[in-house]
Amino acid sequence: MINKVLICNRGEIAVRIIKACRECGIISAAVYSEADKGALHVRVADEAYCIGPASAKESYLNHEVLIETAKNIGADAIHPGYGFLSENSTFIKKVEESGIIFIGPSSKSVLLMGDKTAARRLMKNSGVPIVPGTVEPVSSVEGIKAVIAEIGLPVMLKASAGGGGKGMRKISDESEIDDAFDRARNEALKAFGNDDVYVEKYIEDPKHIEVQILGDKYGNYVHVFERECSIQRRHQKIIEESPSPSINEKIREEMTSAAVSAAKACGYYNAGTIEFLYDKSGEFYFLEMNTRIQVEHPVTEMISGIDLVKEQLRIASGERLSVDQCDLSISGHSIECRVYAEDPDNNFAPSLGKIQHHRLPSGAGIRVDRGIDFQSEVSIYYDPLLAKLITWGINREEARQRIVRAIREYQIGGVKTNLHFCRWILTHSDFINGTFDINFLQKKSDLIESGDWKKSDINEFEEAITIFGALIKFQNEQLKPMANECKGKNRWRLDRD
Amino acid sequence: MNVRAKIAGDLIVINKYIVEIENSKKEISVLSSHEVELEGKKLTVNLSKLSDYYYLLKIENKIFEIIVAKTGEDNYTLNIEGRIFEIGVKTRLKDIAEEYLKNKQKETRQDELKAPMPGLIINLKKNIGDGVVLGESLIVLEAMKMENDLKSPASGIIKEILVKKGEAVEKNQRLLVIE
Repeated sequence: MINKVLICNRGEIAVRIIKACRECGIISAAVYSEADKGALHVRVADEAYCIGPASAKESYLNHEVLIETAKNIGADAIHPGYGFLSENSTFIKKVEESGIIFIGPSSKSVLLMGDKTAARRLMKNSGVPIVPGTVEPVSSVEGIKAVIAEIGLPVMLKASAGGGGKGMRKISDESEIDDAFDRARNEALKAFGNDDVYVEKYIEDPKHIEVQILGDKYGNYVHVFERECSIQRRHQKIIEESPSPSINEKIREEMTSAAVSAAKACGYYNAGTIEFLYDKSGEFYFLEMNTRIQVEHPVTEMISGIDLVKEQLRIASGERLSVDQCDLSISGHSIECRVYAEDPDNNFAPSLGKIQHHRLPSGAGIRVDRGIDFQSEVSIYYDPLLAKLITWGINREEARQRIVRAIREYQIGGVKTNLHFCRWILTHSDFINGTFDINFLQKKSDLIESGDWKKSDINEFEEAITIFGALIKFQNEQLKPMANECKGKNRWRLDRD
Repeated sequence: MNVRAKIAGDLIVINKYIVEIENSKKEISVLSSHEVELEGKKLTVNLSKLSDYYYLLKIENKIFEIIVAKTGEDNYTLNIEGRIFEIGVKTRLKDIAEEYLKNKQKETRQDELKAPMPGLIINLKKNIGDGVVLGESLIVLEAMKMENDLKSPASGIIKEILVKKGEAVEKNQRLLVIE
């Protein structure tokens, strides 16, 4: 059994991991940069170690310092959270070689799944449906033309080493091939140090549906159903839910068993996610595998009752999975929205500052996973994810009404958040009816950029806002009556003279 | 209590306020700390300040909890029932004075480059005294993991540089002045 875990992350996921450790009787050791001295994960951990300056490169991404710290403090395991070093096979290999347990998959599985063309080959050979296209990188414009002749336009060029939308280019017309090929390769080289790109058929307005799996070190696998994460802005998920409102029992059966096959194919252990695109004709295609705990894991926990982070701890310490597939079922519905310190009214620029007011929503079926508290600093150095608001309901509509209610209750002062933007999406008829795809926000970009999406809110609250504005100004003026009386003269100097 | 001031020959009630909500202006009179007049309607109101960022507003019998997400001088970003609004507040008097000044200032111009978003100054490309042309790249600002080129809003000479390389800046912070 693991005795002490060094948590190599920050923010809400570090706090989430600390909670799981505490329930398992494991000592939690947090790391923090100089900018994170007062961060919530530092406040709630059992131990905390400063590992360097604010810049992530010198702190949360510093392999040597992290492994050295783990050794020095007697930690027998490292939890990477998500992002940062969680899918860095070089780091994982170093951890493995140091004799410390990595709470995640083997460096081999990560390396395999990080190479998108190798992963596509492996999936194809294991009978998991992949998006039509190449399973090897393409090396020339002629090569791309040959693929297009076979699968037709439009297609996507994607970076083999990629992720996060970088090194991705859509080709709708043959004339765009040269330019797209150059730019995709340049972007890939800059972002990943590798300019390999491959071709995939462009899937028109698909949904993003992913399957949560768990595998232990003895070859046992279960899936914990699916999540739908189609509401995205520039490839960043904003709202997620489980189960998906878009698939029936038959598709669920096919998709989840494909996901388990995918995990088996790479000898995977730990919690993992297999992402699929689901198109209008009802076909689904393997997109990629995420070899870590996901941001959106709570919706799966809410409908299944499984604590995924505790399962990660069990698996890493060499125990068997705590459940069989037949123990698992979907209960109710869960929705999550990501609370970012960003400004939807200013092109989603980060909103920085100190949290000056913080009141959490509460009541039946509400969960908040957060990395902030009163007086926390939101800085430019890190991802602006403050918290995740999650609700559970007996059905989708109850979960939805509950999250809208919770947004009304969730008060954050000192920084601006995107909660009102989430509320707009959650009350939109397309969301209510489940008739949305991954391009939902892109299709609404005119409405969003012009600010027109807020019009009905303004009408509803115009009177209250106007009265507030006038009264606060009036009260402030009452507090400094002298200022007006001594206009042009300095009283203090007058007295001295 | 009606306080009056004389400006430009007009009598203006200075307990009148202008509230700007997302580009539209509303005029309102505060008759006392418990009564306002809005669009010809008199309303009984009460505003309690619970902290700098948390207020309770009562209008007749309706209650609003108001959270201040961000605040500047006479500018507020408000959160009411999960909705967010940007407002600017000034007295009617100041509004008139500002309009007057705006018209006057049109002749002698000094341009400022302001940060369009919060971020980190990665590079300053010019020094004080350098000539610049409209649209020329002056500063590289890193925000949202992307490098943004900030371009000159005017042609002229750099008069002042108000930031240093490596400095973190807020949205709308003045970065440099061009004359």
